[in-house]
Amino acid sequence: MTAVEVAGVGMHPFGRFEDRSLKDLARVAVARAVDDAGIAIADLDAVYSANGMAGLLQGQEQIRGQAALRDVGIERVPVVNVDNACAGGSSAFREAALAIRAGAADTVLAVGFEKMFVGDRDRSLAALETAADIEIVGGLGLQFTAIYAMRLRKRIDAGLLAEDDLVAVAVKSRRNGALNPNAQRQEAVSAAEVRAARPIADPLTLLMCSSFCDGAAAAILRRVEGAATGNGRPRVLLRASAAVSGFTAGAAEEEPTATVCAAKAYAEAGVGPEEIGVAEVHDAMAPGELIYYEQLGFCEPGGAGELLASGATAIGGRLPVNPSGGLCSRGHPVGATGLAQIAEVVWHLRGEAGDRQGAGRPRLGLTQNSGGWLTGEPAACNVQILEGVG
Amino acid sequence: MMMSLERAVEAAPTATRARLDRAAGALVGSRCLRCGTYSWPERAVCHHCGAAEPEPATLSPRGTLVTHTTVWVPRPPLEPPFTLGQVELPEGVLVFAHVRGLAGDDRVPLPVELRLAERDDDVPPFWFEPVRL
Repeated sequence: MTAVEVAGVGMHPFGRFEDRSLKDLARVAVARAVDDAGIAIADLDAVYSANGMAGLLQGQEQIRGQAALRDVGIERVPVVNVDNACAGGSSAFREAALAIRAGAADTVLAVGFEKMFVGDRDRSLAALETAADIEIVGGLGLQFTAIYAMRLRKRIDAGLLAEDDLVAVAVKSRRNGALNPNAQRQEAVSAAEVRAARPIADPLTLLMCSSFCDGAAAAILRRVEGAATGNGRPRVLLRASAAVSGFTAGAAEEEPTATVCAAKAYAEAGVGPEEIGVAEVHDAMAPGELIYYEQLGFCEPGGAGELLASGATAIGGRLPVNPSGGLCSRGHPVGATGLAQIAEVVWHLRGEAGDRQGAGRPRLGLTQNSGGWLTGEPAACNVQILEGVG
Repeated sequence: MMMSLERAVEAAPTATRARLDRAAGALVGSRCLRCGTYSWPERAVCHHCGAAEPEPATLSPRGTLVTHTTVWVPRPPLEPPFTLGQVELPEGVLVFAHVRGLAGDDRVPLPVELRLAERDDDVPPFWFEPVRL
């Protein structure tokens, strides 16, 4: 199969930027990614552009990518607009990789941008609620906080997780975010503060949850010609790019969407979960990380609390998970999140993650990004596996 | 094996499909005549076997609450706190809905029963309550 590398990544910091437009957010992320790859805008053959809510929140619908990217000089090349709710960024990334594998392009930009602070909380919450089958959820007031809360409550009642684990992973999330200059939340918090924060949807408190966020992230994908060795700087190869959609969950136990997707990615890369050395997983609420330890094969069912307590998933452990702070602390500007995960893993594989770099450079990194909701399961899920070479 | 989807082409428009059976006090979904899998709401094509054989089916008004959460964030017109839950019906269908009348010492799995609002366009149009013996 055609080898694809992630040649460059870039972000506009995540946070609250009321004076920045979608164009401003996208411009910064794209300019940084293009410079990081050492290419020019004119080198791009195609663009996959992710955004979830600009239609509802900014009134910019239908050609969101073409409109947002004019300011950074992207014209003429095909721009495909991608959604998929919170998984939009990784969906754009995967489409970019497929375009290269198909032989249709050599150098492709994947970009995601989102602006959720619009001065009206109810409008932003209503926009978020559209990431579901509205025929089912209309009028329920079913936010993602409640969906995570119900998933966690089920595991707690089954004895697979303890409430203290939820607190501990939120503390870890904020501790990592405090090391990340691109993060929305850069203050460490104590376990007591997490417990005492106001309830959102029990067992979740405010400090366990991501919030509204503005931001953008971008990656340059490129066909690899010749031997994929590093030239002073490690190259990052795409080893697997898997995608699945959700399904109608029933009472019968079935493999969760993320497990199915990860299995496809592990098979494509020819590696197992024990070989992964850094991971960014989808923790819109910090305790979601614990669920994904199990679903991605990092531990056995019921082993998430123990894995966390062992320190293995902390920065410096054998498998740092969400060293960026994850969605909860780095922030979760919906369409940008999947590409911020890619950027973080690329930095770790290159040894460029600064204070968040663990012991040495991991060889393999994984990202898992889920979006939307279909009767208990994410509507979309993407898992990528990246390898640092040289 | 060829399975014609002709019946799906002719399926009733979604807006005309019954969601509630007021006489039975129950939700209406569908049951696939080919494989027996139930869905809620009604489907034109079975999500399990792919046949265009689902027929409308009134679901059991009683089920089992398997998880729940109390929400503290207002979502107009809903005022917090309100409780959401996931209910398994005997037909194997999972339903997300409001839950009322939970006591502090209630533990899942908990038998619950459907309640319908007076009008179909009330918010929420239905909810579940614990079955108190």
